Amino acid sequence: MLGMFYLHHTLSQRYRYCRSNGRLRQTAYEESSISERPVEVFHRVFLKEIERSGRIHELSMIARYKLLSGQLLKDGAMGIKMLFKGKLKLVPTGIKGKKEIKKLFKDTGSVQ
Amino acid sequence: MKVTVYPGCSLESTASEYMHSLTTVFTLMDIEIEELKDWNCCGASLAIPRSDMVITLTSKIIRMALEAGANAIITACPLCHTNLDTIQREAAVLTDVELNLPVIFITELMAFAFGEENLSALWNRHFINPAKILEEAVEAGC
Repeated sequence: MLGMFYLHHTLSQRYRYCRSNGRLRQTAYEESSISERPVEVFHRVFLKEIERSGRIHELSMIARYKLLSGQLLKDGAMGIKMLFKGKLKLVPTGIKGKKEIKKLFKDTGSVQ
Repeated sequence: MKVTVYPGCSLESTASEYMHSLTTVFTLMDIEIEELKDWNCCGASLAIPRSDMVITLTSKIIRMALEAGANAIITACPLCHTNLDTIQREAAVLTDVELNLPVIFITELMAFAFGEENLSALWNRHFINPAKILEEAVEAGC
């Protein structure tokens, strides 16, 4: 039991979860089949939205995702209902440090 | 009224300290929590690119909660909350079973329990409005 705890502790300290997850995701993209393309597009649009404005504005992100994925009409009714329920904000709220965010992305590799 | 807690994947792993504090809050509120047994992931942000998959995953969770006799699901993850609440009508069409289970966020439950009265606007934002079930719980002395 103590050994398991030590192993977990050691792994937690040394294992770089974010980097490993990112690498796994990248590998998945590279090896993905055509049917998984929407997921790849979504992740790219998600990151691009953060790079652009520092926060996620769902409506902008969904619009961009739909244009790039070609799924223009999919889940449209759900989107309209969410809009009426007040779950999607019409106007994005930006942040002051957009330049810093852009620099962070530039330093770590901009989203294609 | 029987509620079941759906922690979601993050509270089970990377945000386990959040689950710990949540359990403490429930204890302070004198609420005995019962975690939904054998729950699965709600599909998270795949709701946008793979809504079919998320409908399948969430409908399984809702059906398990209903089978466990729950009148509502409590969650503390915003994404889990959105997925579980918004997708039930679509899931009902696909699964041919009526799914109508309110999903309440932990802070909403706290606001209600602490006596906040102006919550109707909040409840109206839900796809499955929990107001009725909460009123019934108060009348039943829960």
